[in-house]
Order: sequence, then C-alpha cells, then structure tokens
Amino acid sequence: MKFNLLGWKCEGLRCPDFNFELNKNSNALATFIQMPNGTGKTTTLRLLKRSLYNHEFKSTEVEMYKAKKNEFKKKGFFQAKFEVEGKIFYTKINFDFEKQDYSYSSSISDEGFKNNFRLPPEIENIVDKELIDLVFVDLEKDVKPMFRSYQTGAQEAIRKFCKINILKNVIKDFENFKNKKRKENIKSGSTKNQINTEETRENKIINKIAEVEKKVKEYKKYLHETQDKYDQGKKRLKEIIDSDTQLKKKRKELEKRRDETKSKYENLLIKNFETIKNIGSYDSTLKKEIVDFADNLDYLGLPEEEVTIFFDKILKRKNCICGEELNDDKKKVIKNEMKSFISISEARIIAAIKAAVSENTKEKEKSDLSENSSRIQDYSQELDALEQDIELIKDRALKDDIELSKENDFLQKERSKRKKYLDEVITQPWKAKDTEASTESLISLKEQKRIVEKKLADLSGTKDIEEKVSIISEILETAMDNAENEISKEITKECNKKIDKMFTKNPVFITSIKNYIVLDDQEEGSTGQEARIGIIFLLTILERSKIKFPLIVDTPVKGMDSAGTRRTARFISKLQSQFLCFIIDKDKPAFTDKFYEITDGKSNFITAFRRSEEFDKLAESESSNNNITTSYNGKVVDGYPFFEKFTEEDEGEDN
Amino acid sequence: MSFRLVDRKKIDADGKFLSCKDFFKNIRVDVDNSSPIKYDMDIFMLCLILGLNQGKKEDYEKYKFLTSFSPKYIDTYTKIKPLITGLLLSKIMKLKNIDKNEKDKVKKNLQEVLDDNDPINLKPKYIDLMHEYYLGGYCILLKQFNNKAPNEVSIFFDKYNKLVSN
Repeated sequence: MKFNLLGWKCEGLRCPDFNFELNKNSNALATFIQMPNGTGKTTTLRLLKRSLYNHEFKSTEVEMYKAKKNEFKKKGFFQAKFEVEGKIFYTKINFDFEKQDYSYSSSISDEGFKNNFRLPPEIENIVDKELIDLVFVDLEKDVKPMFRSYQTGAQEAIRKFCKINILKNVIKDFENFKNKKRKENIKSGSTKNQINTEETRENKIINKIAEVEKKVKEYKKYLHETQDKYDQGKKRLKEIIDSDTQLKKKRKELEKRRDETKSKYENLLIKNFETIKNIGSYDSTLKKEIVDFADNLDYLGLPEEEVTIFFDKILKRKNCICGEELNDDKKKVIKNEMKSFISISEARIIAAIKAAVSENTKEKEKSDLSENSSRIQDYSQELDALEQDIELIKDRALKDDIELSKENDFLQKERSKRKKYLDEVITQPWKAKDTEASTESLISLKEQKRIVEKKLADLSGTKDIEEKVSIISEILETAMDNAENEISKEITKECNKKIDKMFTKNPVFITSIKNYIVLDDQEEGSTGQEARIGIIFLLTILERSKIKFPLIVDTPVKGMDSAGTRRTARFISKLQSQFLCFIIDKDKPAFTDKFYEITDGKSNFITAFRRSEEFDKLAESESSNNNITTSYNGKVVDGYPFFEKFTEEDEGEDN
Repeated sequence: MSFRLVDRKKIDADGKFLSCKDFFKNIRVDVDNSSPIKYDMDIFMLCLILGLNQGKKEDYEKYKFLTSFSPKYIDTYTKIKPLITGLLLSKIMKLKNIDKNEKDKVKKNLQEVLDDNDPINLKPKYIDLMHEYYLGGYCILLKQFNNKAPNEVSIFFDKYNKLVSN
C-alpha cells in the first residue's frame, strides 16, 4: 500500500501563501524543495507533521504561526493533500489568530470537508505522532544521534515504529490500577501514619527519578550539540600541532618513549600481581607459614591415602589377613579404625597443597616485592614526566591558538563529565544503604521505588495485587526486551543488505543496533556515511509496515564535503520510496546538480520564496521553462532551470 | 557457598566504611587501563592474602555482603586455590590450639575443614572464616588509605607490597 504526500497549501500564516503541487511530474524519483532561509521551511515541516495526527495546539503555538504585522490576517489555514492506495484525502488546520484558537477539518471521501480530524481507514490505526516523527526527519537533529554511544535514538526509533511502547503503556495502566486499589484500601490509626510516611517517600523517589531523567535528556542534548564543535576543534588542533615539523618529530619521539614505558609499566604491574598471588614465591610471613604447614604434613606422613585404600581392600575380602573370617563385628572395628585416617579425596586436596608449596618455593621462582614496588614507582614517575613533556610541546605548538586549545579542553572536560554521568552514575547498582537523596542511579531509584511500593502494599493489605502486577510487569518488560533485540537483529541484517547494494565504494556495515547504530570497526562514520546509513535505517524500519511511507528530510547534506554530497545524490537516486527534501541554495553544488545529471532530470525541482522585485524578475525571465504559482506575497516555481539559477539574496534567520 | 564482596558494616558508627567495590573502583582496569585488577575475584584475593598475611580477621556477622560473584575459584585462580586452603588450615590449627605434632588431631582437623564436594574445598563454616580473613585484609587497606578509595594503581601496589612483604 502506497502512501504519498501530493502537496500543500497555506494562507494567512507566518510563511508566505504557497501552493505546492508535487504530482505534476508523475515519473519523479524525488522532490527537492528549495526555500531560502526565513521563508518558513521549519513552519511548513512542522505543519506537515501536524496534518497527520490530531495535535493539541496551545495558544502560544497558534501565536507562533501568525503572520507578521503588515501581512496579518485574522484567519489562516494549512491544508495538506495525501494519497493512500490511489485515494486522495485532505487534512486542514484552521487558525483563528484573534481567538488564538484552531480547529481541524478533513476530507477523506467525495463528501467534502468535515469539521474534525480524520484519516482514511487504511491508515487511521497505523499513523500516529511517533511514526510521523520517523517519517519527517532532520538529519542533523534526528539521525546523527542514532550513531552516538551516549544516545538512544536508534532504539527509540525501533520502539516507536514497532509500537513496543504500547507495552510500556500497558505496564503503566497496571501500575495505576495497583495504586488505585491501594488508595481504596486506606487504613486508620498508626497504619495510616505509616502509609503516609511511605507515600511521602515514594513521591520523593518519583520526583528524583523525574529530575534525573530530565538531567539525562539535557546531558544527551549537550553532547549532541557540542559534538561537531569539539571534533572540528580537535582536528584543527591536531593540524596545528602537526604543522611544525620539528616539534612534530620531537613529539613523536616522546610519544614512542611514553608508549614503551607504559608497556613496561603495565607488564610490571601484571607481573607484580601474579607474584602476590603466588604465595611462597616471595619472602613474607605467609611463605614461612605455608612452608611450615607443608613440612609438618611431611613430618606427620600425610597424606596417607594408601592406608584407607588398604582398609577398603580388606573390607571387601571374605577373610582377614590373619586368616580369620571377617564377620560384621570385625568389619565394624575396621571401619571405626578407618575413620581416623583421612579419605582419598581429602588426601588429594592435601597433596595438591604440598605440590603447590613445593612449586612456589623453588629458589629460581623467587621474586622481590620491594624491588617491584620501587620499579613500579620509577616507571610511573617516568610516565608522568613524559606526559608532561608531550603537553609542553603541545603548548608550544599551540601558543598562537591558546583560546581554541582552552576551549577544546573545556569542552572535553564538560563532555567527559556528562558521559561519565550517563555511563556510570545512572547505572550504579542498587545498594541497601541507598536513599533517594544519596544516589542518582536510575537503577537504584527504581529499586527503592519498588521496595517502598512493596511496603505500601503490605500496609494497605494489597500485597496480592502488588505481586500479580509485579509478575505481569516483569513478563511484559522481558517481552519488550526480547522483541527489541529480535527486531534490531532483523533490521541490522536488512540494512546491511541495502548498504551492500547501494554503497558503490567502501561500504560501511552495521555491526549491531542496540541503543545506537554501531558501525563495523569504527567509532563513528563521516557525516555523509551517517546520513546515508541513517536514511537506510529509517527506510528499513518504515518498510516493516505494509504501507510504503514517504521519507521527508530536512538538511540532507548539511556538514558533508562535496564527495559525500555527490555520493548522497547517487544514493537517493536509487531509493524506491517517495523521497522529499528541503534544501537551501548552498546545498545545491554537487548535490541537486549531480542528481539532475544522474537521473536525466526525472525529479521535481521546486523553488518557493517570499516575493521581492529581484526574485519576481528572475522568475519572469525563466517563466517559459517553469511552472509558476503566485500569491500576493509568495511564489512557487516548478522547474529545474529556475531551481538551478536561484540564489538567496542574503543570509537571514530561518524561522 | 560462594565468594562475596562486602558492601557495608551493619553498625557503622562513624559512617566511614566504604563498600569494597567503591574502594577499588578507580584502580580497576575499566577506569585505569594500566591496572591488572580486572575481576571481583582479584579484589577478593588481594584482601584475603593481606588478611591471612597479617593474621587479621573481622566478625562476619557484623557486615552486609553483596550477592555472590562466583561459586568457585575462577580459572586464573585455580593454581593458588591449594595455597589458600593450606593457609586456612594452618590458621585454623592455630585458632583451635592444635599441637602440630599430634597427628590424630591434625587429621581430625583436616576431616572437619575440608569438603571435596564443594568447589572451594571447604565446609561452609570455614568459607565464612575465609571471608573473615578477607574482611580483615580489607579493613587494613581501608585504614591504610584513610577510608578513601585509592586513585592510582601504582600507589596502591606500593603500599600493598609493603604490607604483604613485611
């Protein structure tokens, strides 16, 4: 089943009045929409998304879409046109800027518009906000985080699309049911006081969890936002350091010495630890004690397993060695006597002790821990000194770029602090002494919450319900984990098949997708690689549905070098789904021109702009080759010649 | 029975007792990549060897332990298992005032302590005793480092080596 975006129309909004028709060229492989900064790209994308689910607009948000002073109108609308299985439907968002209000209307059949939000039955149970967030993506904001170890973008995408989150809601419903039952069973007297105390504690824990989760979100955002700046700074600093050949040579020498010393230091630490474990191989009170113990065993003639074997053999005979018959009484005497001798298995343990002592106390194996200590200290000091020298050389090389160096150091520290928090602090195991005030570990806080809930269930007499909910929740959580793992494996396999087909040069494959996309043998891909693999990943997820969704991408080549841009153009030309992307004029070189060349122009190249004398003239001069839709303040020009020629007049703020 | 690390003191009057995992966290290989300390068993053995060396043990009942990290000696420790067993047997003989020349009493002690069916080769009571020496060693380390987790592996082993080779 195919689901396509056919166009949209807007009037009276912050962006100019536009009318986009995307299906004029039915053979189009992709649609490129060029909109200068400040023309309403972000507004358009946001409203396109809101056209596909019933969004609750707050008055402040309605205000955001209002046209600026001289273009102000009391009312405005945004109408999108879609197609599912050949049937066309419309959704319209009507804004009343005077009342700061909004309403939806939609037309899903020939009956015309009705005043509510509706989707055709084919997709009404499938399309929701979470899915739409996957269909409309900003490569910079949504795709890059899918490749960062401290982010969970890929996992969230899988959860959203495969509706795994529904199970989370079911768990939440069970939790609410449990809490409701507990509240209905309110006791009186001292039990009530105890319940109050525990409920206060529970609230504190819940608040702390929310606080930590907020912090986690902020930290992830910070890491994402500073990633490029940090990487570029690091690259630039390396270039500066490497540019002075003499200093570079000196640094290389020092680094070589440092690596050698580090290796010696580490080997010695390992050897020293092995020595400590090999009790007896170094002089200590333990050596004396274990040697004395083994000597004493020798002195006592232990182990003496042959004696118990001897008794065992006698017990099996009919007659004793003296020739008399071995009756039960005599056997009893022998068995009692046997008890005073150690068993075969005990003898084996003792023999092993003696053998180990003998092995470890051999003269040739002797080690000296004091000597180890002083050598460890020497190596450690040498390492510190070499590290300092390397730093000094770096400082000398960076003397003219001290600000950049400081800034990058600062970023490194701040980023490490946050990474540590995400990797270690929130994942600490629960400890019995933990309180909500003493820890920020989400694992511990959740366990504390569980314990308090258990106490509350005991106090309110709802233990039975508590246990049942706990069992069901556990089953559902396990099911969620298993489903996620299986789906991740399948998606990884599918993605790699596509990568193999679509990457002409040096394909980079996906190793696994857990929280994020892990690439083979490399920490991160280049911006271009990540963008292309990100698109493949999203398309693979979207393909799991029986409906073929379009992929609508903002900033598809931002931050890519021209080779990456060209490869992305070639890559998009091979996509099977409807693909629509928004660009600005500086994205065109090596991208849309390359795409035009590869596909013989079989695509939609649309330019939309706020009218000005200069742009109007330009459009007029190209009118014979292009299809133009004009409103009082905006123009939509369909055609490659104008698309290619169009250049923004200056840099403005994108809204 | 199995190996466990101490988490806290049941009555920690001055609140200074540090969980064993926290004490070692900065000098484990996952934080300091030069460190040879990798497993919980490494931590346990460092403390146990020190406790046995100094003949110091702590009351097992006064401490709370984390859940078991292993029911047996991990592969890299099978070689030293007999040495630890031997040292514990020697300590037990001293604790029970057994005359080392009295063969019957020595043998009786061996029978009482050893258990070939247990992977640690000790009866439960004596596995507890092993943990008491481990606790003893850990308390010595805590004292040596003023109840603060060491940050440098070289400094840790410098102090440790001095303690065990004395």
